[in-house]
Amino acid sequence: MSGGSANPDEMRRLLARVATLEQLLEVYERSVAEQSDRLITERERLRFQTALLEAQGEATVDGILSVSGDGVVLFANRRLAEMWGIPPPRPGAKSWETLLRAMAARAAQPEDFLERATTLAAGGEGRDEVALADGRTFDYHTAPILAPEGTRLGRVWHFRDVSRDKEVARLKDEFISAVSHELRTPLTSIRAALDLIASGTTGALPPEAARLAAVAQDNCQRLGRLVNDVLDMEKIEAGRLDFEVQRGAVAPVLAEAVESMHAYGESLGVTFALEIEAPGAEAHLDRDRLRQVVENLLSNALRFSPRGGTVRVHLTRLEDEVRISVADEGPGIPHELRGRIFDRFTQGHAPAARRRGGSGLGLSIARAIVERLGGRIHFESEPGQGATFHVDLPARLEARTGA
Amino acid sequence: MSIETVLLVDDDEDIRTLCELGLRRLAGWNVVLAGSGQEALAAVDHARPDVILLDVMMPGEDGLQVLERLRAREGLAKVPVIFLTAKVQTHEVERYRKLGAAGVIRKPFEVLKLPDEIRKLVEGSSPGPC
Repeated sequence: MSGGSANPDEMRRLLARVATLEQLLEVYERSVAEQSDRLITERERLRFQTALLEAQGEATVDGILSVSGDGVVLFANRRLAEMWGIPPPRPGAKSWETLLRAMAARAAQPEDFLERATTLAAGGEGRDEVALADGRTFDYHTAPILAPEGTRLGRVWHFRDVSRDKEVARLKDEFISAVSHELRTPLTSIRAALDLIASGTTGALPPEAARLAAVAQDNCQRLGRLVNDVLDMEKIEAGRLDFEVQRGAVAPVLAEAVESMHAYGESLGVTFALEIEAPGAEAHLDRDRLRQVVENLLSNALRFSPRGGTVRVHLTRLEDEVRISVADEGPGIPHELRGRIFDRFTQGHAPAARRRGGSGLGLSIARAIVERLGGRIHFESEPGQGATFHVDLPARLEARTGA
Repeated sequence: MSIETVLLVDDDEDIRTLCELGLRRLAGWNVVLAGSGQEALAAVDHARPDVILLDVMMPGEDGLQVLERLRAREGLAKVPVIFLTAKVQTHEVERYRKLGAAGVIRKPFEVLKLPDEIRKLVEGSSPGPC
């Protein structure tokens, strides 16, 4: 029988085609399933990201506001409205201008805040502080939101209430200054009284009384230095140490410092050698502060010098800098102290108990001052071979600002 | 110019006692004491000081106000006035000089060096032959 039946070859071809189509279909189905899975995962990921961002935005004491480039609120946490005392901004609403005005209305100087915020909004990252009419102070920080290719999508604002920090800092300053004044005033009187007695101005003292008066004098001076150092350290930390930087000769400052430490050196049997290699060397300096630095270095050098030793003070000119060096013949700086010799309250072991009396703040203060002057303080020391401290000050102002 | 009499104005009684004793014993000067600007103004005519030491920080009238009132008195325009102050900033020292002070002695001062410091400032400020 023939006619209706296909020939076997054609049959095989058709079957092969069907098989191919089935395979293709399977591939397409798998692909669709994968795409769909990916979409679901992507949607999950987006939901997760949104939840994460929102939780991060809420779990903070700061007020956060994100705004698109055309002024639409992208995100505002609850804290923002709460701290500013404004209605909660609605995401999606084009309300940046209104918001800014509402915040400005709370500021002590609304116009100033508007101007500052507008300027900051036009720039890159920035920060400022705003005083509110109710007495609080907010620190605020802003940064652009950038797409990976660098396009600006908008801007984030962070507001932090720093009123409490300010108040604590003020109280601390007040306390320190009150205590130090209360300590300084009686110290001044004790010292003057002792000086008059010990010098024999009020009549000659029996030898034993003279020795006792000398002990009292010594310790009184030590206490005075400690109070002054603590006060200076406080001021440095609060950024309130006043400077009057002018261009001036360095050599006279060294001579003054040596002169003022002369008696102390004599009492320890240590002499100074002032070696001025560059008499005309000038630097940008605050005379009083630089003298304080050199005096601190001299005081250290004296306390670690052997009796009969010499402390060398050297002034030389480097390429763009002026170098002051103070070298002693003491035991040197132990290896374990090297990394923290400029930290507060790091003290080496003075060779004799009578040479105690550093506050442990001298080098920290010296470093803070030298850095404020745009310079650098460092040392060289080998155990058993003394220590040399160098203060390098920029000789020209450009050298400093270029750094 | 030689110094015979010093008027010391300071609200701290200890400082007054110590300076009086120190200046009298160390330099042989006659020291008149005042605890306030008011007392200084009351004592100054009688005391006829050659130099006035004036504390800047005093309750009531401060040193700067007292200086102004002293300067207004007849015969006192040229008496050197030296401020005693714990404020050590150079620009403040300049300001005091502009206001007519002969100089500034920083607190806490060393009492043994006080007579020399006073002499130096008084000599430095003595009016020229104009």
